[in-house]
Amino acid sequence: MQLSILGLNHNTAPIAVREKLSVPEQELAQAYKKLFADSRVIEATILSTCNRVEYYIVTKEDVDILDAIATSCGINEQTLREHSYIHCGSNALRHMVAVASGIDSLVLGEPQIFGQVKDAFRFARDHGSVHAYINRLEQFVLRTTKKVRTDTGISENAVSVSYAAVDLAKKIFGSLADKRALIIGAGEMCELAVEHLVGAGIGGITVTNRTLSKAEDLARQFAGKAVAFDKFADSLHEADIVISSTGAPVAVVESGMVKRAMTKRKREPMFFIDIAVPRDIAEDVGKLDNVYVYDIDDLKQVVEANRKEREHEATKAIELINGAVIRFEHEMDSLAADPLIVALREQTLSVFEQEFQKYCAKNPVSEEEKEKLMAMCNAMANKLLHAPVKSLKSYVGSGGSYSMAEAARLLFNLEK
Amino acid sequence: MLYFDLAVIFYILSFLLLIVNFHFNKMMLQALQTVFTGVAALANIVALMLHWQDMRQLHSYSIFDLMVFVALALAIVYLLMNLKYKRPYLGLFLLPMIIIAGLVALFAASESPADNLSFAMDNLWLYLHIPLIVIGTAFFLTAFATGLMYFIMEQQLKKKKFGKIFERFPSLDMLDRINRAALYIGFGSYTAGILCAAGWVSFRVTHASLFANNPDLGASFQLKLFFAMLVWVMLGIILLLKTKRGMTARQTALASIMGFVAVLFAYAAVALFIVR
Repeated sequence: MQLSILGLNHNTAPIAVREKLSVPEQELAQAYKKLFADSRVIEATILSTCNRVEYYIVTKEDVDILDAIATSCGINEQTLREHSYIHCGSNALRHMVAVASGIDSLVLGEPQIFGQVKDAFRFARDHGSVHAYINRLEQFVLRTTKKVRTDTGISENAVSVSYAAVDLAKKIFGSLADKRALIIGAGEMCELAVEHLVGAGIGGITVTNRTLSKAEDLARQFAGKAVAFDKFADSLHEADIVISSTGAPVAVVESGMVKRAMTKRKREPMFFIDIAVPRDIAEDVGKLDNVYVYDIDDLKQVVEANRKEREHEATKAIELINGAVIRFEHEMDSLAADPLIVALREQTLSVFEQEFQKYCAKNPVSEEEKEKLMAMCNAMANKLLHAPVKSLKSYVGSGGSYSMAEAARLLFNLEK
Repeated sequence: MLYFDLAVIFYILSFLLLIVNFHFNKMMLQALQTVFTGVAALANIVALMLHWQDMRQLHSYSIFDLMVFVALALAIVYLLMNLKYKRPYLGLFLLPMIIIAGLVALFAASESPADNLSFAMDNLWLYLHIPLIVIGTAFFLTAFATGLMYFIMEQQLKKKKFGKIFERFPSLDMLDRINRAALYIGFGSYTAGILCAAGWVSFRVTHASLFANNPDLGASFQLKLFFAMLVWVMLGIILLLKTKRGMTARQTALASIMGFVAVLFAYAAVALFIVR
């Protein structure tokens, strides 16, 4: 069996080419049908995400999968060659785990790809395009990816500004479940920050904006409440976390405002995230006790440090994957011996069975003795088969060339 | 002694491992560090029991006994806190305290032979009083450690230093929770310890003849009780303020550090008195 991968991703192909090859869920059945129109394809799985499209193809022998896929996708072979990559054998295995672990992702270590890979295998199974080889491959990829995620820090630490802000909030408040956030502004950055806060289980959201209707829209989207921009100072004390991103030319949150809020909230900590340029939070606010202020540069500093940490972890992950691929290939090689082992065992047992029957026909043997003799025959068969079975498992994938005498010695573990 | 030497060695190894893991942050190293602490605590328990067996009674008069007990109480509190809150780096502060207590005990044991105890001490009230006060002290030391960690972490957040301390230390909220728990449990234990001391004083009054030949013994416990009461009253006021007036996490952390200084003062005074 030969595993080959043809893929293109954000590094190799522009979006116009990726679009042509991308396969939405509802078109998967058709895509698999076209693939299997080529009789050389035995098993297949298609992974299609916004940043990559990959075909995992299992064939009996080496075939040019580029031509098979170009035909099935109706894309010019030359265009596909220019923008795609092809991996076979060990490289293909390494690539699959690297993809599932997020090592090959646009954002290093991002976790969503793992779910997308799992879904791809599931869809392939639903469409009947998966058999023994990809079934084992799936188990290997998922198992190794989980190990990569637990044994390395590839997915630890936020690498986006909004995630970093939520992580920082957790360093102050621990759980966010009983905390309230005030969002000043209703732009795209604010919406992204709210999404992450809601994802982290924030207790409540209040939105304020110069245009109240925009604040109301955003608040409604996340089951929060909106307040008028000229009134937000009155509810500042209710907020544990304040995220601000307005286009105001001067600070919208002054230290006097925060001091009053701190008195009202009995000096419980407040966390301000200022993602506006120019800044929305006055510089002296950060000097107040129990008040923590982070601006966009601080958050970028966190993100950069985390990204470097992930790159360091990626090196460890690659080493781990290499080891796992070697073990998997050995496991697959020894599986190739299974049909041989079964045939050998059946033949041996049948010889013993025949001889046993002959003996019983000629000699009077009680039921008790029959049982004992049968047990002895089984034990002898197992002992006889032990050496060849072990040798078959070890040497079946070695690919060496041996004379008949050498093969016999190896098979039966005979001394020279 | 052999078991206690072993305990101190394992406490030191556990601390070293914690420092190494502070850099690498590996689950395996963490598990090993917990095992080392557990082994050290077990050896500490065995050492204490064998010592009691040798002396044929529970006694807590010498610095050696006191420090062996303090080390054990701190180790148990550390293990329990780690079990509940999963925050092993509390050990960065607690383990040095345990090691210091252990080394002081070893030094005290080699400097002077174990005291011959007065049978006047052999009383149930005293058996309860001393462990309760030591356990209370261990919790206060934990509160002190979390108080220190709170201020360190706060500085990291204020100065925007995103290094290992920032990554490894618990959140401010978690530190406050551990601090509060330690203060309340410690105060409860201290209260019970002081009530037992009061019981012992009443025993002493009713059996005054037992102390006729050793007036210093009675005086030493009066002084000790006075300092313990001082610490108890002060911490009672802090907890009352926290409950009734709603002190912030920062104020509680500060109060814990002040509480520790007071306990240190009380123990230093007692130790000086005992040495004399």
